[in-house]
Amino acid sequence: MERKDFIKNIIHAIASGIFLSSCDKPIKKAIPYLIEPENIIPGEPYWVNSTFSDAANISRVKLDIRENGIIRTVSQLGIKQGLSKQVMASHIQLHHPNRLKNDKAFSLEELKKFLVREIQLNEKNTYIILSPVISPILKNLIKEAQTKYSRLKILEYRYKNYQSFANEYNGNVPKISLNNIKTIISINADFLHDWFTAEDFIPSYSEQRQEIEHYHIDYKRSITGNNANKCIIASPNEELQILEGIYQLLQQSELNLSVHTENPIAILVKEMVESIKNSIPNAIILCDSNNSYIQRLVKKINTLIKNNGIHILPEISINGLCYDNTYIQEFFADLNAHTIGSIICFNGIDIYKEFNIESVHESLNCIESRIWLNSMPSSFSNKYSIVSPAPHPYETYDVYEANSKELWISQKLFTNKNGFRIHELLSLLCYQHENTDQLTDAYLQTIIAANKDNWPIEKANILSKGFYVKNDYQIAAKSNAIITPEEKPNIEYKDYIISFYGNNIEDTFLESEILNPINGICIDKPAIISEALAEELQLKEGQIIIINKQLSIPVSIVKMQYKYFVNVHYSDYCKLRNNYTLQNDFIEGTIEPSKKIIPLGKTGIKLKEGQLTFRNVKDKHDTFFTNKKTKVQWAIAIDLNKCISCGTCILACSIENNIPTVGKIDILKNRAMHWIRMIQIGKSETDKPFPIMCQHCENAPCESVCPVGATLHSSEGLNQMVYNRCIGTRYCNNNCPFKARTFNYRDYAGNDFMGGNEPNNEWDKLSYAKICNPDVSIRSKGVIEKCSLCYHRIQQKKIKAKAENRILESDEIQTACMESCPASAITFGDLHDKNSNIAKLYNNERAQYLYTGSNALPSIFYLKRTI
Amino acid sequence: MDIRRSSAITILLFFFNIINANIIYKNSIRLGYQYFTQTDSSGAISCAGCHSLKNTDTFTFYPTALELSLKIKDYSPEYLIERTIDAYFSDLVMDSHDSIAVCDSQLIYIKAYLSSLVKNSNKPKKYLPDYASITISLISIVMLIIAINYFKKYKKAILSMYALIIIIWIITGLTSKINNIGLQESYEPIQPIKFSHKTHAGDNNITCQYCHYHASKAKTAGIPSIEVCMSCHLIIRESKISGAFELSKMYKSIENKVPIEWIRVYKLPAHAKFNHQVHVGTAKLDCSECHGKVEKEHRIRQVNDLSMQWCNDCHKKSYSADLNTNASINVFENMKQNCNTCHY
Repeated sequence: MERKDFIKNIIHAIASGIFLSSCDKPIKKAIPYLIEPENIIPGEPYWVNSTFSDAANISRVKLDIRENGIIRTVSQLGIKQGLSKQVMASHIQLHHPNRLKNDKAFSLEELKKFLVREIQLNEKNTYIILSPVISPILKNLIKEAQTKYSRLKILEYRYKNYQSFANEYNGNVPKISLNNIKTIISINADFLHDWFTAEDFIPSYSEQRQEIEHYHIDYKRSITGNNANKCIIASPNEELQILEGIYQLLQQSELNLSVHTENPIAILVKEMVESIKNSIPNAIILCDSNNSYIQRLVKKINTLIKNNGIHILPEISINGLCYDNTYIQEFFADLNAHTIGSIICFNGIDIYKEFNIESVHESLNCIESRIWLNSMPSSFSNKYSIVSPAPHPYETYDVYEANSKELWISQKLFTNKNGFRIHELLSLLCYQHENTDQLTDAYLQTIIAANKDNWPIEKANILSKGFYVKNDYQIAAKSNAIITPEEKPNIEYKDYIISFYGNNIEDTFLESEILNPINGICIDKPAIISEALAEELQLKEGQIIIINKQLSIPVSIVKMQYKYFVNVHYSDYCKLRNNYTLQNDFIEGTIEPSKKIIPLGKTGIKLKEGQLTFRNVKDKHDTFFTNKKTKVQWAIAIDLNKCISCGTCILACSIENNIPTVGKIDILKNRAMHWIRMIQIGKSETDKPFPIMCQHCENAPCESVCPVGATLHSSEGLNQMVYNRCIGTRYCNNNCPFKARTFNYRDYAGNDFMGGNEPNNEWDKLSYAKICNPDVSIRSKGVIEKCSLCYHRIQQKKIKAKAENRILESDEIQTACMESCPASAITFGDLHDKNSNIAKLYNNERAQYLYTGSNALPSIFYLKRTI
Repeated sequence: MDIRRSSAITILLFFFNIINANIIYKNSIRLGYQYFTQTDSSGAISCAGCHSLKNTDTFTFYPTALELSLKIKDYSPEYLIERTIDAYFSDLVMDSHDSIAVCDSQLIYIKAYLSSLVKNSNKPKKYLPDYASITISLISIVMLIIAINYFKKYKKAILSMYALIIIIWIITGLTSKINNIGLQESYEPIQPIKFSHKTHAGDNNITCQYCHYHASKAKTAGIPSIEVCMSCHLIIRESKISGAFELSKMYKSIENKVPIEWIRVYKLPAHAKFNHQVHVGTAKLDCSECHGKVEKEHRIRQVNDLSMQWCNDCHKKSYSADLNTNASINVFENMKQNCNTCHY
C-alpha cells in the first residue's frame, strides 16, 4: 500500500467514525403476534414432523421452524436414520430465490381450466410424467381419471430402476435389513451412498462395523468401496465370474472356473464363501444390476444363505423405487406416432433432461402443449410452452405409502396460493372440486377407521407423529412381474464403458459446495476416470475429454477404479443415452482427449508430506487433561472405523452455523468457508478422508499471535473466537497448523455498508435471512471464523439445566455434526465427566490425536481405523 | 364576436378559475388554521392547546392535530357537524368538548385545514445542516484570516496554534464519540400507541410478567399480543387520560388483522446474546435492575447504556455470589467471564 492510500484510508476511517457516532441507531420494529399461538415461544425452535419427497428422495424429516422460516431439517428417527444431503438442504428450496413464481401472462385458474379441457376434449393423448407414484391419494385420482378419460396416460420414471431386482420378489422391492449382519458382499451396490435406501443401511452398518466382514466388488470408486474390508476392482465380466463362482462353491460343488487355482478371482471367491459359510444366515449379497440373469443369480445365492425373512424381508415392500419399463416404450411409440397432444411434467421429472438427445427433443417440440409443473425451474424450462409453479412438499398435505407397512404424512406448513399440483388438477377433473386436503382426510379416516367424533383428535395425533404404522397389511404380487428367461448376458465390449453417479435432482447452492468424497471435487461434476487410464492417455485433472463425439467433459482422476470405466454425472449420462429402455447398467463409448484444461473446484486442505501425523493420546496428551483442574473440558471424538467419510457433517455444520457459500471463483482461490473439511493422511489406497475441524488446542498457536485478543481460551477448554473483536489480520489463520480457520473475504450476509464485495454466486440476501439460524451471529466481512463446537447448543442446554436446578447430564449436548452423522461416528462431551461416552472413548486403546510437530494438545481426538 | 377573442377570454377565464379556486382553497385553509389556533369566544381554550400542531409526542394523551386529521379524512363536513366523529366517541370527550362553542361554518374550515395536514405529512422531511457549527467554523476562519493579516510577524505561530486546537478538538471529540457508537442511553422513541407503563404497572399494579410472560421461560421476554391486551380491554373500553382514542387503535388492528408495530427500545447488537430465562427465571433478578423503574414513567426509556462494561459490572459480582450459593450446580461455569458466554 502506498503512503497516499494509507493516509486516505485513515481519513476514511476517521470520517466514518464521526459519521457513525453522530448517527442515531436505525429504528428497529418489534412486531408481536396478532394472536399468539399456543406452544410457540418467539425465538425458540418449534419442531414439526413432516415428509419430504421429490423425484429422487423420500424421507421422514423433522423441521426446526422459527419466525423467519424453516432453518434446519433433521431425521425424525434421530441417529437411527440418516438423511441424504439433498433432503437436508430441502428447506433451502422453499426459500430459494430462483423458485418459480406465477407468470402474470395467464392466471392459474385459466391454466387449470385449459388443462382440464385439454384432457377432456383433445383427441390426442395427454401424458402426465412423474416419479413412481407412492401417494395413495394420487394413485386413486389417476385410476379414477383414467377410467373416465382413456386418453389420459401416465409415464412413471425414475433415474434408477430396481425392476429386475423386484422381479425376483413378485414385482415388489423387499426391505433389506442389515441388523446383526456378519458378512456383506456388495457388487457395484454403493449402499452407503445412494443405492436403494442407503439412509437406513448406514446406521446399522456402522454400529456393528467391527464385527462385519465386508467385501466390495466394483468397477468404480465408491464410498462403499472405501469402507469395505476388502475392495476389489473388477471388470463387469470378472464380476459375473465371481458371482457364478460364489454360487457354485456355496452349492458344495467344485469350483468350476475355467482358470487355474492361482487365479486371484478363485482365491477371492474361496475367501468370501468361507466367510459366508461361517456366518449363515447372517450374510447377504447385494448387487446393483439391471440384468435379470445377474439378479436371478443373486437371488439364488441369497436363498442358499437362507437370509430370507431375516435380512431380506419380502413381507415389507418398498414403494417408489421401481417402475415399469413398458411405460417408456409406450410413450416413445406414441411420441414417434405423433399422437401426444400434451405432456405435463410434474415432480421434477424433466423429460427434456432425461432424454437429452436431439432427435427426442425434436419430436418433443412437436407436442402442442408442454407443461412444466414444479416448485423449482429446470435447466430446460425454456423448452416448455408453459412453466407453472407448484407447491413445495412442505406446503402440501399428503400421504406417502413409502413402504407397505407405513404411511408417511407431509403437513401443510405454509400456505401457497401461488401454484397447484397434479392432484388438484385431477381432482377437478374427476370430482369437480380441487380440495385435495379433503381427499387426504377421507383416506386417512378409512385407514385409521376413526369415527367422526374422535377424528380431530386422531388427526392431530397422527400429524404430530408424522407417520402411521398399519396393523395389517398385505402385499399383492404385481402383475407386471415378468419372468425373464435365464440367459447368460453377453458382457463383451470393445471400447470404454460409461455409467453414472448422482441423480436427476439439481443441487442447491448449499450442497453443491460439499465435496464429493470420492474425488474431493465440489460444484463441478466431472467424469471420473481411473489413474491407469489417465496415465495411458496422458490426461491431467480437469482436462476435457470428448465422449462418443458428443459430450465434452472435464475429468477427475481417482484410484481404485477399473481402467476402462468412465463415471459421468447423471445429467451428462442422459446426453449419451442411446436406448430408451434403460435396461443396461452401462453404455459403451469412445474417448478422445482434447487439449483444453479447466480448473475444478476443490475444497479440503492441501497437506505437505508428513505435516500431520497421528499420535496416541497416552503419550503426553493423557496426563495433561486428567491433571487439568477445570471443571469442564469439552471434546469431540471421531471414530474412524465408523466414519464413512460421506461429508454430511459439513452440510449440517453449514446449515447450523450460517456458513455462507462462496461460488466457484472463490473456491478456486481456496476461500471455501466450511468449518469442517475433509483431509486424507497418507496416500495409500486404503486411507480414506476424514473430517477435521478446529481442534481446540490447549496450547493453541493461533491464540498467541492475535494482536487484539479476539481469540482466547475459555475455562472450559474451548478456543473461542470473538467476531466483533477481530480486525482481520489473519495471523491466526497463518499460524493454525490444521488450517481450520476461514476468512470472510466478501460480504456474504449483506451487512457491509461499504458495498462492492458481493459474493459471486446465487446466494441471495433475502433468502439467506430466511434460512439463517438466529442462535448464531452472522459474521461480517473481514472477520475470521471457525468451529465453535456449537457453543450456542452448549449454552442452551446449560441454561435449561440451570433453570431446572440440576446438574448437566453427561451426553446431553449434541453438536450439529454429531446430530447429523448417520454413522454416529462423532461423539461430543465432557472429558472430566467419567460417566460420559467421550471419557470412555478417551481411554480406548485406539484413541489418538493429530500431531503437527509442535505439542498443541488438541481437544479433538480420533479413534484409529483398524479395518 | 371574433372567435379568437372569445377563445382567448375562455382560456383566460379557465386560468382565472383555477387561480381563483386555488385562492379560495388556500383561504379556507388559512381560516381553518385561524379557527384551530384561535382562542374561543370565552378566551379560555383553543383547539391547538390540546391537539398539538407539532407532530412530536409530548405524551399529553391528547391526539395531535395530524392524528385527528388522519382520523377524520374520510368523513364529510356534515358528519363532523353532527359531532359523531368516532364510533368510540366517549363521555370523556363529550365532557371536555362541552364548553367549547364552535359554529358549523367554522368546523368546515377546520376540516379543510386538517385535511391539508394529511397532504403535507406525506412530504419527505428536509434535513437541515447544523447551522451553529457551520457559523462557528466560518467565524473562526474569518478570525484566523484577520489575525494573520493583523499580526503578520506571528503568522506561523498562529497557524500552528490553530492547527493544534483543531487536532485536539478532533481527537477529544472522536474518543468521546467513538466509545459511544451504538450506545443509546435515554433512548425514548415515540410508540405507535401512547401506552403508559405508569398506568398499567404503577397505578394498577399489574406485574411485569403478566404481559411479558415469556421472560422467565424463554430467551425473549416477549411483547404481548393484542390477545393479552384484550383480556382486560374487552371490558375497559375507555382510559382515564386518553379516552377511547388510543384504545381505538388497538381495536382497529384486531379488525384489520394487522399487528401493531412497536418500536424496539432495548436492543442489543447482534453479536451479543442475551437470555431472559437465566436472568429472570434462574437468577431471580428484578426487572428494574436493567429496565429501571418502569412503573414511574409513562413511556418506556432506555435507562442504561447496555454497554459491555455495564454487563460486566454485574457479572463480576454475581460470579462470586453464584459460587457460594449454588455450588452444587456445575453449570456455574456459565457465569465465568468467558467470551463465549455472550458472544457466539
